[in-house]
Amino acid sequence: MWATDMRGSVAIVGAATAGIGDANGATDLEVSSLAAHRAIADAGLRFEDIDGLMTAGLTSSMWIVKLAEYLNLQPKFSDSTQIGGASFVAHLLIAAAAIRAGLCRNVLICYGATPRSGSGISATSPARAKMDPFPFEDAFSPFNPPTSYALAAARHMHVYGTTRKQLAQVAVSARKWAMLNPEAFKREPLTIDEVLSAKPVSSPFTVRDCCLVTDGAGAIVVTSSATIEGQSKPVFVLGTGVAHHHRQISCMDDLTTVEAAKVSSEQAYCRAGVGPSDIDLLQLYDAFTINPILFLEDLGFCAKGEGGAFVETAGIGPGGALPVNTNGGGLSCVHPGMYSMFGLVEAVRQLRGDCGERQVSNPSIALVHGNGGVLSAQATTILSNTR
Amino acid sequence: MNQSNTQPDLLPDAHFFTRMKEGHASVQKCNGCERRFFPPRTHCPYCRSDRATWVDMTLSGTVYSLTFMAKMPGRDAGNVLLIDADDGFRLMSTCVSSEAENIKIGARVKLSVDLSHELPRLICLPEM
Repeated sequence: MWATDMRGSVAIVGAATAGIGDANGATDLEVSSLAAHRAIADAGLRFEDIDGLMTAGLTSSMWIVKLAEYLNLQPKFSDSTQIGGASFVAHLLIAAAAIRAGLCRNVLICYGATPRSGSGISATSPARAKMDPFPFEDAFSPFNPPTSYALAAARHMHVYGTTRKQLAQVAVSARKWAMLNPEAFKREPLTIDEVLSAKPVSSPFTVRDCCLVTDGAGAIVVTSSATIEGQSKPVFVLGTGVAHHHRQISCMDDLTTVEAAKVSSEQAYCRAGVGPSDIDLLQLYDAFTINPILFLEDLGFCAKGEGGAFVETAGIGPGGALPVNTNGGGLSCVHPGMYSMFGLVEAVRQLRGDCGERQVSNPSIALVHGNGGVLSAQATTILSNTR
Repeated sequence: MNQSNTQPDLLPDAHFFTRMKEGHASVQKCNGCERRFFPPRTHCPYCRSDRATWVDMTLSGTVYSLTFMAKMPGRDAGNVLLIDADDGFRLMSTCVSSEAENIKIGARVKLSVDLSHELPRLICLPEM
């Protein structure tokens, strides 16, 4: 049985980013270290206070050990659960359990990579493919991840009549938020027509339907809610859920319904004691334009099949019905291989009221949804500035 | 071509690809629940039985989804299809015919073994 007193049992007391966009040739360790030190300073803690470390990497086989060495940190608790881009949201669930079990007091969750200015994904992808074969898909040379998500988008368009323009609206809405965010990598105006006429990648996607490849690092500090006196703006983790049902797109049951996202969000809502109507803003992992449409449906913000119409008419951009990806998301702000850390940092900044021009008016509850693989691993957390 | 099913199948991947290299598409049919499952596995993913019989795959199905990949540096243009095989599972495939661009979701396709690629694979053609 889920211990109901786990609701809000931990809080995020520090959050920071570093090297967003182009890190000028910095290494993954360098940007991660910068973000980690900034997050710990933001929490008003000393490095010696950190006794738990969580991270996940895409390239190093022992990334957490490498990072801890660089930081000269000898954690009492260390975990690098790797479920792709959803990892950092999932880490919140494990951190809460570890803190409850008395394994540590203050957990640093950290991620950084520099695929734009450092070693490119064009170099690491073929190496990964060799070490992690999928013999029943590799023979067809899918251009992954775009091809797998394109298959989901094509099926969603076929079954529900979702349009190419509705997909483009997701990218345009993200860009409008990015234009309000000085940290975002892509800030020039973007129109629906420019999305549609951009370089084709894997139909129905053009390059503007696909997330950026940027540098960037993010870090948060998680501590027990029982010991946060002196913290000016703690953000409570009300509840987190994690689920995964497939790895390969050919093994996903229904490409128009992310069942694992339904499970992870239902867990998070239940643990937090809130529902979709209580949420003031969302950070949804937008690796591709179909993602927010699927997640709006599967997380309960509109009916199945109506995600396209929702982004087009209700609106998810500035001034829309529901603020989604207020930093500009993976499509326009930052995407160094894995993204959900940046959704967490943005939600914390919004709940603290630190977002300047893009600040959502007086939010109290935010939802962050992470996605990993090809709609594979799903993690949802509900954050609030009150417990 | 049925192989003995009195023993657990310890090398299902190797068996599948060996048969493919001989030009035969085979699939495991569970001795417990009688469902056919793919990709090959040591145990039936539905009833968990470790006893399955290799049978000839039914080489037809329906297009579930598809995408056309653009030509890029280091990559040729191509297409990837997901096929709901008539045997009850889904698999990835590609259509190499000049007809490919006319294929739509819901179209009926015939599958065939293709050994021209580095990995043996099942490709498809629109059913006439």
